[in-house]
Amino acid sequence: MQWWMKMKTNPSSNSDPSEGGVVTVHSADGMVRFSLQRTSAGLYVQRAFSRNGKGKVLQSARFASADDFRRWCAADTIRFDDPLMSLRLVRHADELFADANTVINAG
Amino acid sequence: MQMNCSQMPTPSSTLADLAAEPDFTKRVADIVCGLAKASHEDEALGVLERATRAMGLDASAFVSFIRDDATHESFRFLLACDPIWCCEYERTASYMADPWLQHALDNSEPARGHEIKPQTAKEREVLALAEKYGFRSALIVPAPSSGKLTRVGVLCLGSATPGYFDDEGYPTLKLVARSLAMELHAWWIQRIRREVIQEARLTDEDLVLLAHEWRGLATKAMATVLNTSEQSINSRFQRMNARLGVPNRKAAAQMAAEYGLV
Repeated sequence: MQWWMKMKTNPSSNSDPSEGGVVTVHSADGMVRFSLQRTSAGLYVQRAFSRNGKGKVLQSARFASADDFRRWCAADTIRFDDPLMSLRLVRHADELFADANTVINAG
Repeated sequence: MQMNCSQMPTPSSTLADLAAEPDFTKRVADIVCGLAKASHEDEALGVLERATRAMGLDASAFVSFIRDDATHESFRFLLACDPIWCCEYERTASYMADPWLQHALDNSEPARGHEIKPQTAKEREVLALAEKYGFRSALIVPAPSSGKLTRVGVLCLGSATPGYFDDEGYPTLKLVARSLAMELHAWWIQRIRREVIQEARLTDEDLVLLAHEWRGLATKAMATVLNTSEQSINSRFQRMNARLGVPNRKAAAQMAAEYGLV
């Protein structure tokens, strides 16, 4: 197993989260891994995909709203390949956005 | 995607108007300098987003490509654009038919989208997909590496305005875009270097061994230089190869070079 297959995508392992914690979600087959982190600029998401041992694809993106993130999830192949994971992702994202709103409202 | 309107040129700005502003290059350069402080992908992405806005663009993506060996490749995307583009790109397995990536692998010069001609129907599909997601006009900026290394960075800049890159502001934009591409490329390599060292638990001594192997030293020469036995050198390589997940020391040295360890 090459080093990159063991690589953590949880940013907290490599750096300090700028705000809040990091949620990591894996697909049942371990081929896809997401990490979600609420930051001051929105929701930072990293998607790591292992291409059947032929390589790895890492995507980093930010979302301004829960709706933007839902739209992205709806376009991702995991919606069909692993629907439960897709639902978990959306739920986690909603919670992260809601937590941030609560902090803002409370502040 | 979240867009902060501060520092954003007015929508009617042409590239020529923007590039003629006296502080244009400094404004972009100041943003690019922020990469030095970025310790995480989120921060690097923030720099890319701000630079994209400062250049009057609608979309950008930076792709770092490394071929570990004949069968394994890695792609790392920083997406300051609609990320659904990348979902579609992955779903359609566009990696192997991407004319922009191929341009970056073969050239060091930036090129505008219309200067890169698709050769196949699949390549035309890949370009049509990019156009759909904010790259109607495009500037492709390679960030090459030297020598025998496969790693390459590609900065894709996009505008919804047709011909955006075709006016007299282009030479100035090309200058700052190259700077951004090279800095992003260097940032990624440093980031990956740290990850490899951490995940494969490489010590300073391991890095010295890898450097010697990359330079072509034989075991006997390494043992002499490091004042140890040949058996010790072989044992250390065996353990290190296992941690790196490579079959032999030659592959370990190649990987080390690709990931900026030597």
